[in-house]
Amino acid sequence: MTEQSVTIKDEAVTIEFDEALYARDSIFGAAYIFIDRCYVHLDRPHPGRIAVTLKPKPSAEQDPEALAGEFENELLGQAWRRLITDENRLLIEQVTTRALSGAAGPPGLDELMDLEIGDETAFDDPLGIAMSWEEKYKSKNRPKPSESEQESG
Amino acid sequence: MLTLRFHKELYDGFVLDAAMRTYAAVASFERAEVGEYYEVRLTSSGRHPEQRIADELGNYALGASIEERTSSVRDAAYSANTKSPGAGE
Repeated sequence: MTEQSVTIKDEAVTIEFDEALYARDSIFGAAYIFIDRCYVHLDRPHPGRIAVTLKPKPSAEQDPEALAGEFENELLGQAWRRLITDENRLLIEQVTTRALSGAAGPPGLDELMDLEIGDETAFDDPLGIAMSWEEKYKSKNRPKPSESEQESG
Repeated sequence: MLTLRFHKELYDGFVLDAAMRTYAAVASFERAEVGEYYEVRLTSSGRHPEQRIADELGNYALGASIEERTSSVRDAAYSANTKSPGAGE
């Protein structure tokens, strides 16, 4: 069986894909894009294969062959985007987790009560209580008093 | 009467039911399960051609099935991320 086949019948075009080459989610993604201008139907003619039938809506007359080509291009784009997302999934999850944990703010009383205090963590200061106000809120760009005095003098 | 077939691996049964409810004003539907397919028998109430209703129903069911699938994948990923506090570290 060929990897891909295109059949045109009446106004509709049916393209059959091998699921080993194109993931089902990529085919779904491409099909979703075409819903606004075509009637789209998916079928599974054989195990491991998905058939996509595109029938142009009356409002959008289109050549079935051109439609098939456009669908294949869109499918390739979807598959490529999916690959990039999969490759960067860990990075995306890390960034999201850090953003969410940062938005949660400093730990509350419950979290502090749950802390296990041992030799290694006894001197941790998650809330910065032991720090002076100046240390905690100092601006990195603000010149030190001695520097500004020298400049003015 | 028109008979439509939707493969169970590609179309969500609940979504198909919702689609049939949406188009209940223009047609009557009967749903059955035949092997790997949901089979929908459609009879137009007379105002619109059956083929047109079938096409629109198919698009509705496919679009909503894809949206449902996308959101369930996203929810699964989110719950997997939130259940393990060390995830992503």
